[in-house]
Amino acid sequence: MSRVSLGVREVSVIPKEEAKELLKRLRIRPWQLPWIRSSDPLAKLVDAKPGDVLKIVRESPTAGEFVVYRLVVPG
Amino acid sequence: MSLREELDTIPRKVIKSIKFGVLSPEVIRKYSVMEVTTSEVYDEGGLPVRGGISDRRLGVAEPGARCETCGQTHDVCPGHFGHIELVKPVVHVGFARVIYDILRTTCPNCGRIMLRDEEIARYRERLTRLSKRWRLLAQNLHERIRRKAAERMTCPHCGYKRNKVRFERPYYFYEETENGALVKLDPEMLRDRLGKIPSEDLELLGINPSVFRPEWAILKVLPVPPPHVRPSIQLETGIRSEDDLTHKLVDIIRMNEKLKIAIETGAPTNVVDNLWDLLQYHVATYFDNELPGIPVAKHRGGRPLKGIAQRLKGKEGRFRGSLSGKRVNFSARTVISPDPHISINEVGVPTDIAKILTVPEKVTAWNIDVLREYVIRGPETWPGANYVVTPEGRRIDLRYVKDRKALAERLAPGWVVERHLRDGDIVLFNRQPSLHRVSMMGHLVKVLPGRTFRLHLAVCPPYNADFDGDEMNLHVPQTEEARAEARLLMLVENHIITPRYGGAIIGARQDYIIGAYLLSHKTTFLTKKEVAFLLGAGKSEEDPPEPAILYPVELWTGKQIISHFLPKDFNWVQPTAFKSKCQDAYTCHGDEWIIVLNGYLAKGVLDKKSIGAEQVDSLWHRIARDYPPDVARRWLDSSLRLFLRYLDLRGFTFAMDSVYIPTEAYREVEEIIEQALKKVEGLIEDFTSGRLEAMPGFTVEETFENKVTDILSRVREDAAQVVEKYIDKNSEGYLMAKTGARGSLVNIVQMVATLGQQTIRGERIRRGFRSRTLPHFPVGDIGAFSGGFVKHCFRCGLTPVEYFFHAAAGRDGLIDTAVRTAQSGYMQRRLINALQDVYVAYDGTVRFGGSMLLQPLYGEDGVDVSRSDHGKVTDVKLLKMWIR
Ligand SMILES: [Mg+2]
Ligand SMILES: [Zn+2]
Ligand SMILES: [Zn+2]
Repeated sequence: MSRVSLGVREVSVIPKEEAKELLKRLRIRPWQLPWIRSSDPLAKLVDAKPGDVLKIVRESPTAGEFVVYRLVVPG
Repeated sequence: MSLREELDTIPRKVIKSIKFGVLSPEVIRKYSVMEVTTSEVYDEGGLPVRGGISDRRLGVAEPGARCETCGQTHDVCPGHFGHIELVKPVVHVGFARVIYDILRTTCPNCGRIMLRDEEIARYRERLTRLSKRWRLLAQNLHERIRRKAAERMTCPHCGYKRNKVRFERPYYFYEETENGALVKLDPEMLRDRLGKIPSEDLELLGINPSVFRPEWAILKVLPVPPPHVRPSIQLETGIRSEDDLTHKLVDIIRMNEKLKIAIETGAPTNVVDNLWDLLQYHVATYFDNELPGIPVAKHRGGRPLKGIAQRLKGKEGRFRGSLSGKRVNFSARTVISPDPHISINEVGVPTDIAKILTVPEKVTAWNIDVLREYVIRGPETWPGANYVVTPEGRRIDLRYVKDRKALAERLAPGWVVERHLRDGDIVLFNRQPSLHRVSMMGHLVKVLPGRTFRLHLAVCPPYNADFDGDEMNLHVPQTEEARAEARLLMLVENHIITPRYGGAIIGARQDYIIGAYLLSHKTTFLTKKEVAFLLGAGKSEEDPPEPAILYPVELWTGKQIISHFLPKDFNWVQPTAFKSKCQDAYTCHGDEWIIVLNGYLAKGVLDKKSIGAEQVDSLWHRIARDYPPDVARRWLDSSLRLFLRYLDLRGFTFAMDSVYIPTEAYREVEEIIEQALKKVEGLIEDFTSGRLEAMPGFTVEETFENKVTDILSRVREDAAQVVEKYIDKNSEGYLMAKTGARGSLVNIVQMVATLGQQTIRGERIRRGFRSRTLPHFPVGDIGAFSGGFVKHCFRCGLTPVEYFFHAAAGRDGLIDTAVRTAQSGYMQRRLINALQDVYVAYDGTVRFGGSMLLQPLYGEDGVDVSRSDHGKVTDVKLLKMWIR
């Protein structure tokens, strides 16, 4: 199987507790995170359901490696 | 009452939410104070006709008269809406698209949405779930529902087989019957259909029926705005000129009257329909006079009338022109011109402008004497004052004060004097287009004679300014807070490092660079007098260094003078543009490497690479980064003045001699051109005889073009090598190109050897006459010269044909830049509008208007580029050097 690099190194659904912790640290509510559709290949890969928070580690031209969080939405 | 107190009396409310909806006919009638029934505006006496468009019950916009509804005068009466009862309904053009979307998804017979009951239940359930948490996704679902309903042609509720609805912009609707004929749906039919739709079904289509019933999109009543919205103007001749909207409303009323008469007199249907359509046209163009597919409504003079949409749209419209683009006080605009003597922090302001712009200064025990002096000098003489504000808040205009001495005596702490702009005041200086933050910086005022703003040459790059007639704006901050912010955050010296890439954007250019090169050159020796002169130019207050040569006369080297101004703890090593043989700085005997030891320039010449703007990892970049902004600024100020003064002393002239190469060089260039032409001839022969083979992915013609372009463009490169070999390395042209002061080797080659191939859009010149570029060539000529190859140089002179091709290529470049700036300007506008609410919060996250999170850490590494070493927090190599 051939792989296409999207600069993504790691994807995972983070546990509810960790998500709560994250939202508290950023002082935001879930919907204020960037969104990703549950039909997105990346979300499908880890079988994410709407309401989950994805942790995505990807390549960054400035920081080398960077972690972003995304809220899975229906669709 | 002062302004502050007055503002406090205004009741304030917090807006929680805004709801957009459509006025129903009942609401329009309720709002209305009168029905407009006649198209007559004024009677013979010039008085407004009752029931007309200028009826006094709608309010009064001109002074003197009284409103017949509220009884107030023009400055208090807010104006009151009236209404017109349309004889037959018309489509509101702004909602035509919405009407179409509703028509094609609902049943014309029973009005229900074209979905089965179970589908409706399912969608409704999903919508209520989504609308709670995913508002944006709910919109997508509405779109899906619409698509689904539009597909179905038989109504699941009444079994009616409907026809396809066709929409023709801007406001025509047709029904397509089985035999393919189009039947027009008039607004009355539309209104009947829309009125039948139950409100619950509308919710599925994304419409909130409490603020919008679809039949309201068909107008039966038209609101008439008060004269405040469409004021008439009285010309000096006494003739009244009405607003475009008034004209348009009169058209509507007149057409309405005609239609009414036609119906009452029982005119044939086609006459009625024609009038009805005209009424529709007038109502539509009243809203928007730039509708596609219908003629623009015009004045008698031919000028297009301004509809409501035209008032709001575009650059001069309400949004961009009046709300985003307000004009401001305490600002000035004039032509800029260069002044190398002022600091980069300063701006030269003409006295005439300094006498108009003012700074409000509170009177205190410490400044009362100066301010009294200013008040006595008044508005006419600089430095004076224009206004005095008493503690009660009364503004006294000094132009009309007879005894200014007496007023000055009354001055006491607590008063405010609006004094003239004077040296050292902070102002904001700006040049459009304001593309990045350094397009507007804080400058310190230097009041100068003349009529132009004076700008230091080194600050041209951030503004992208030159002096071919550029104008710039100046703003005077009026509060202590604003002045403090400008001084601390916006002052030029704090913006030497650009946030774009973390390098210096301000630095030496052109004359400064060549001056610095010549001063730092090994052969430069200076007498005592010259040294004194130069140190004076740099405003040095320290003793000159010991002379390098003591006998027979005391002489100083240029490097000594440059070192005199360098910080004493500064160390730096870097290659110069003249680096060729030396790989290591410390074993090099020439001036190929710069070595600065404890503030002493031991080796190397200065050039663009070391002191120029926009050069990363350069001597100037290090000074700008490693020393406080004011130290770096002072170094730049004095060194630049020094370089320029040396250039003045020495003299620097670019003349014909500066672009000279010997005869044998010309012979070589001639040979190169000869060879290239021969090759092209060979190619032409291959091509015309059909022997030329196409390269993969290209046609034969393309292959030929590619090869010819390749050969001819190589001519200039080859000629450049010849020029490099033969040209005098000390000629002014070569020095300027090499040091980076101005121009490049290509420019010299074009002056001295050959201009080479001229191109339009990156290709050889092809267009012009039939089968040839100019009538000077035989038909079908595809050779080098007819394709824009210029064999001569500027020094030798171009033939007329060559001159033409050169001009054509030059024009191509101009068009290219014009198109590019227009395109990038539009992109910039859209980006700014889209991203205006993005900010970096105090926790380093990037957020959007206080709600959405965009990045958990700014730029993913949290670095402020303008405080960085071209993007990195620290330069590890440098750290190592410092530690050692
Ligand atoms: Mg210009
Ligand atoms: Zn009124
Ligand atoms: Zn039906």
